[in-house]
Amino acid sequence: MKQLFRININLLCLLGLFAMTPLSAWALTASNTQIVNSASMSYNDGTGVKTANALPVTVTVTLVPGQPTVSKGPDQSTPYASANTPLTNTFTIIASNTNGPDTYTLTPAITATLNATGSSVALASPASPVLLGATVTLSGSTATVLNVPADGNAGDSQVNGIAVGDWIVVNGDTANPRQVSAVSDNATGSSTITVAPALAAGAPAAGQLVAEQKTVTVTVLSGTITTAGQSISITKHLTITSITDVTKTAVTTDITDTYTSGLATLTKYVRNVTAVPTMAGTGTKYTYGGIDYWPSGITAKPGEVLEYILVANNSGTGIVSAAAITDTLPTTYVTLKTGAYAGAKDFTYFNESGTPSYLTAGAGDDAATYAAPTLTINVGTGATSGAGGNIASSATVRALYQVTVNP
Amino acid sequence: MKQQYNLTIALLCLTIMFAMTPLSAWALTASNTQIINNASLTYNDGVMARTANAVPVIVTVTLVPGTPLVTKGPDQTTPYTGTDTPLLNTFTITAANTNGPDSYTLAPSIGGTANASGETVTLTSPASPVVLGSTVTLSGSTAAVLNVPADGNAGDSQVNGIAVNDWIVVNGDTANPRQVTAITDNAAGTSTITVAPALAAGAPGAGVLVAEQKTVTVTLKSGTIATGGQSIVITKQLTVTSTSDVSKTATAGPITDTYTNGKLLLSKYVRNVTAVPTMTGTGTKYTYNSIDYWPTGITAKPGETLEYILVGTNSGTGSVTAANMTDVLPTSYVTLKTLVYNGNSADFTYDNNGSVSWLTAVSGDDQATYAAPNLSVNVGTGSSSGSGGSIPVNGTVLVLYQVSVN
Repeated sequence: MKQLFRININLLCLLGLFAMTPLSAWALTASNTQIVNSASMSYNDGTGVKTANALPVTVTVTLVPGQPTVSKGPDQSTPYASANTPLTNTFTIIASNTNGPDTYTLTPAITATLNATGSSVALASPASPVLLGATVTLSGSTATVLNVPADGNAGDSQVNGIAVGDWIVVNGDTANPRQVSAVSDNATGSSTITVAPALAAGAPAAGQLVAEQKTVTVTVLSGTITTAGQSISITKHLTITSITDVTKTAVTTDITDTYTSGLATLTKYVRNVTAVPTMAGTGTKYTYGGIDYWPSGITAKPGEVLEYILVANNSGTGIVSAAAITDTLPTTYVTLKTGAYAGAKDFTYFNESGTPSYLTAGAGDDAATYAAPTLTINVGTGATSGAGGNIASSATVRALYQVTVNP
Repeated sequence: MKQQYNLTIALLCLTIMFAMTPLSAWALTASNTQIINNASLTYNDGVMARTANAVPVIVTVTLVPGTPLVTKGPDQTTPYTGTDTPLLNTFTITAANTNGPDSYTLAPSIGGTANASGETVTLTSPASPVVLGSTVTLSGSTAAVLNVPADGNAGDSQVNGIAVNDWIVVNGDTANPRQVTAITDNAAGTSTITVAPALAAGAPGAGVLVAEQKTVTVTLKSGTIATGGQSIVITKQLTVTSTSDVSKTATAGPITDTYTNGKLLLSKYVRNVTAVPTMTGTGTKYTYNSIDYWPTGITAKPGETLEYILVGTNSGTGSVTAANMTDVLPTSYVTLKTLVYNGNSADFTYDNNGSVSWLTAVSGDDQATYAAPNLSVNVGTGSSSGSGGSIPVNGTVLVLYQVSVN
């Protein structure tokens, strides 16, 4: 009867373990932990005290699926370069609320698109489903060497799905993930996971989750822009779901990707320099340097001097490059007035900062060339005599020249 | 050293460019020409090269008013026929020193008047102000078809005021005006003006003025003559002034108009045929066919024959018409001698400016009628029994008749 008692007590203990599972969040037991009871019975057979060992009963702890943690990476922005301009987004996934390795499906999805059609998003890496390892610390861990239960599989160089090179988060310290530098993968008992550098929070106590973290990369294709000069905006998120228990699912907030698009416009205005400096034209005037220029309504008499201002503006959201202004002078009626500007130069150019520089009609010496009747001025930042430069979004450059109406 | 050389050459090029600028003064630009620059911006927006075209800025060339050319037409002469006898004068006006159509006021005025009062001059045609079109040639013109800038107004069938049938003067060749036979009136770019016959000077170069020419007619009224037999002389001029710039004004003239006025003077002389054929009277004698007639001092006895000569002379500046001489014979003392001329066949001798004929006293058969005591002779060229004729300036008509002293 006494022997029966002891057995009963052992069973009770096991029952107690199972009963404690819902509470396991507090003091987790890793899945694949082998609960081994080595029962023995001692007795006196009349010759002496004997011991009878029972064959050990090995109980393997099973997986408790949990809702993983998933967080979005940074928003991205890139110039729209063509249909389906790619952008790469990242999400971080971490095993959570679980006690062991589980596989998860990864599902990226677009939630909204502005100014594009045919946009798409696809998973780049890792392949779905993906395995995230997890285990639970035992006592005796240090800040660099974590004691964890052996997972009953000594041949795969990983402990509950955690291998050298993996990144892990201990005790939910997502701010300080650590990379695994070594594992000891024992068949039974405890294994160790070594990380470097040491855990920021110091040596973990027993029962703390050691969770693998992975980066998910998705590729967004812009589709085709609807209105040039306006940005494409695409929002997307990633859904991750335990395949063991599809109710364990998490979705990120949106990553917003922006494709910028440059759109340059050129406007032209004129004033009559000679006759009536304050002559008013019609339409909406353009005032620069305190001088009014007009889009229309300006008149001139033969022999009078006109000054044109060419205003190149990037009204789009992205940069434009290789910017060059050309103008064809109606030389039947007008003649370029050379030497009209500072230093007896022929043209004035105002860069994006409004800083003037003075250019000549000669070819090859600067960004301006006038070979009657064609005027060419390479404009923008980095413009040279051979190539146009860049105009940033919302930036404006200006070129001025003067002509004499043939008298 | 080589670099310095290059620099020098560049500077020379610049200098030459500057030096050339004043030469463009030769190439006039027509008013209403639209100076259009088509500017564009090429750039790459990351997708591809793109082009942004600026809305063209149009600058319209405005008028440069110029002093027009005015020339006077010929002087005119006409007989004064009464108060405000009219005369028409013409002037020719041609746009000049300008680059486009302008309107001009036409102001005729009298400069001086002799021998009349109340004279007036008024504009007959065209009405004032008048538009004279003008434009400037482009390159590529021929002697018959002129290329000119479009005037920005395609709907009015004229180019800078020049329309079909207008007369134009190209490059100041006023000796050879041409009439426009056709135009193309485009809104932008180039229009054409076709003339016939082709320009005398051949195809014009670019920048040559094409100017409209018009004839101005003014009407002069003589007013009232002051002294008969003297001409009225009125000088007048036409002043043409740009309405756009009144300092651009020109006056042509004067045209001198003359209103002639005839004045017939009648003198009467006598000689004593019978008694003293060579009797000498007093005063200034009048000699006809070597025979002397006297204004005074001739005497006669009863029965003697006297011969009268009536001398009608036009001492005015114009011819006279409906000339008729009458004489009343003092039949109490004298009796007309008949059949004394032309071999005793005629009663009177009539000399019209040296052309002699003979007349009779009978009424209705010729210019002369004598119904005692009244002698009437229609004289002058074209005279008949019913009406008098005309006597030119300085013309003389003579009538001779004889009487017997009772």
